[in-house]
Amino acid sequence: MRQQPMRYKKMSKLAIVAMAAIVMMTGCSGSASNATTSNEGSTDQAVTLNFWAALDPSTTEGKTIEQQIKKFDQEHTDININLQVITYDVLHDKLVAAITAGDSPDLSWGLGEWVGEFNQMNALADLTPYMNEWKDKDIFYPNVMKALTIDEKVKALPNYLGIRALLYHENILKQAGYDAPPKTWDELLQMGPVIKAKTNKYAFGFAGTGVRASQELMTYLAQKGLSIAEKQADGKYKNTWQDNPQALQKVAEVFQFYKDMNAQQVVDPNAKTWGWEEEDQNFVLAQYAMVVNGAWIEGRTSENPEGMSDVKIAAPPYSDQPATFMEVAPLFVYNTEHTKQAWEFASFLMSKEYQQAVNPSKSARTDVESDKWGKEFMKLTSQGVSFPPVSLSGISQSMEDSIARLMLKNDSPEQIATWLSQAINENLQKTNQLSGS
Amino acid sequence: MLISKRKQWIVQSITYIVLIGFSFYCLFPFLWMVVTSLKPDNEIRTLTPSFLIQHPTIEHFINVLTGSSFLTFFKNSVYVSLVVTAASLIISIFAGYALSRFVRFRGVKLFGVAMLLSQMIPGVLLLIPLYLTMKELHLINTYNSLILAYTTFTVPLCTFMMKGFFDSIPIDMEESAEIDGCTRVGTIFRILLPVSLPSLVSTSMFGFLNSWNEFMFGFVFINDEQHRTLTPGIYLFKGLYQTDWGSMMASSVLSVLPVVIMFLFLQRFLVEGMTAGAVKG
Repeated sequence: MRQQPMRYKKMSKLAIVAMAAIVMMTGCSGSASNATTSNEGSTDQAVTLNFWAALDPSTTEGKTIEQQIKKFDQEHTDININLQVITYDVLHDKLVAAITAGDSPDLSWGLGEWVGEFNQMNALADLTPYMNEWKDKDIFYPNVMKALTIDEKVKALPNYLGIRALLYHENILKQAGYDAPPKTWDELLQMGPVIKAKTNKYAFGFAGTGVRASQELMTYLAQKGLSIAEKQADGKYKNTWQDNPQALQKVAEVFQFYKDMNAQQVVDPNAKTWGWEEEDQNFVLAQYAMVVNGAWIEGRTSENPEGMSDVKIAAPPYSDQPATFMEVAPLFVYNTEHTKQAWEFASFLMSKEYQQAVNPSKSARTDVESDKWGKEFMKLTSQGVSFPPVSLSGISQSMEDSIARLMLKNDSPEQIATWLSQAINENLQKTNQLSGS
Repeated sequence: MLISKRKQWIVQSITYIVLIGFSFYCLFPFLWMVVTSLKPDNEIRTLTPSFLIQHPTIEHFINVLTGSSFLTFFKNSVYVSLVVTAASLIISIFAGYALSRFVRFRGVKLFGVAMLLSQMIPGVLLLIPLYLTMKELHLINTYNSLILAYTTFTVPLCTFMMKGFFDSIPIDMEESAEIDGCTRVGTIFRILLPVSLPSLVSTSMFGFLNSWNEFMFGFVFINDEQHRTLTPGIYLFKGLYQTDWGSMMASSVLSVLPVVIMFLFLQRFLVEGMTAGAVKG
């Protein structure tokens, strides 16, 4: 037998050791991880609930939420809460992947746009029996619960509200010679050029891209008495604008309003590409006078005290009828083995104590005492409209695209009204929610 | 061609001006990242952004290192990337050798084409199938899920890089080794690898960077902080109502540092390795 040289032996050994090390490393790693996700808590009967939340741990609100959850965890020896912070930007994709794989968390935060989609995926637990037995069931705003009820079944719970109001910089309006904000679209269009001429600042802001764009468009459509999809006799949904020339005309008027704002220099020309961050930031820095926005803007006061010092709140300017977008951020409880415990935790998250501590300005409970800022927003709850409970991902995108077609492609408002109606119905068909399909 | 000293000087000056311009163009985002990480919040959110910092601060770095789980994310990324690099390198050495030296077998060519085709499938299409696979294997929320996924994505290109290098090594060297009594494995370890250090380094760096920078699978497969890697970790600074740009930039600077240091030390090998196998003969 031929003698292997020493160096080659060393090389071979090295390779074997390296391979073994990799196998060991990959074999040993992560074995402990299941401890956190398994439903075996620290005690024999304890259940671990996986809860995915999009809170911001760096803020006071985020810290308060973490404290409250810790408190619940300590008070309930039979329930352990495994809180995972996941930002909204990626939460949807993570949830879709987890639901598809049958590996969803027990509870999660979410957006109103996802209710219909997750319901279609049969991912959501029916909470009706729990809700009916709950002493606090009548304490919520009725239109909020309606937005979370599908086919008479409570499919999600209200986490917090994002009611939109008109926020305005009082000083900019005064500088332009106005004592009060506009009440109607026409007033806004009249004030715009004057504000621009006298202050060199634009009067109004909107988001042309992202999720905020479709939410703002919803407000203006609702002010014309329009809905993007209506429930039909067969229980499915349909956009009916094309069946009614008057409705189609009203949709065109909404897009004409966008066009006029742009043409008459009421809005910054860059707004067509703004997302929510640009819209908020420019308003906070007093770069323009008014915006339809949520109560969260108050949180920017500490960072920009000068820019926020003169901000006041009013109802959004309307056309035919007062209306505003009411973002109902749902709390999802998924079909898991631990629905009872999940409900117990969810009802804590909806309790007065928790809501008062975490969401004083944006709670869906009527008995939570808002601060001065929150009260102004809560006044508008009765005129709040939400998205219909259909799968919205494609529809939101089409709504965003309709604004792009108007602003960038220069399509006519009438063309866009027809196009959007068709696009909404096509999206409903794709998700098997179109009436008659 | 002979050119005067003056002309030579002019050509050299133009060359350097163009190179400096390109360097600034490439480095600007990184410079802006560093500058932003050292600015206080009120200078970040201002109407007139400036390269100059009026009141430099390290508060964002302190926040990142003490107020978040950045160090855990960093440790996880290092671990996953190193394992992926080692695994990819070992597999691609043998696979690259096979693709280079056993071309006469039809199956080998087919295997090479299949590997190439696998690179054309967008990662997002594999998200749910891979999630299901990992769930069935009870690997969700473990390092193994990332290691397996990243290795499978990295191996094909690493293999082609190694194949390209092995192609450029004359077969005569192996034949000489064989005459001297060396086995095939011995030839790889004793003859080919010692002369292919640049290629090994560049392949390793490619593997490392691929896993270091990966975001999507890191976010989907991992649900807890103990196993979260850097890229999804940094994303957490994007808050509910606003982005903490200072902390995001500070954490980005800290994440880029090891890569920059690695590149500085291994740049020579990297350039050699990248061009190895490009020209045969």
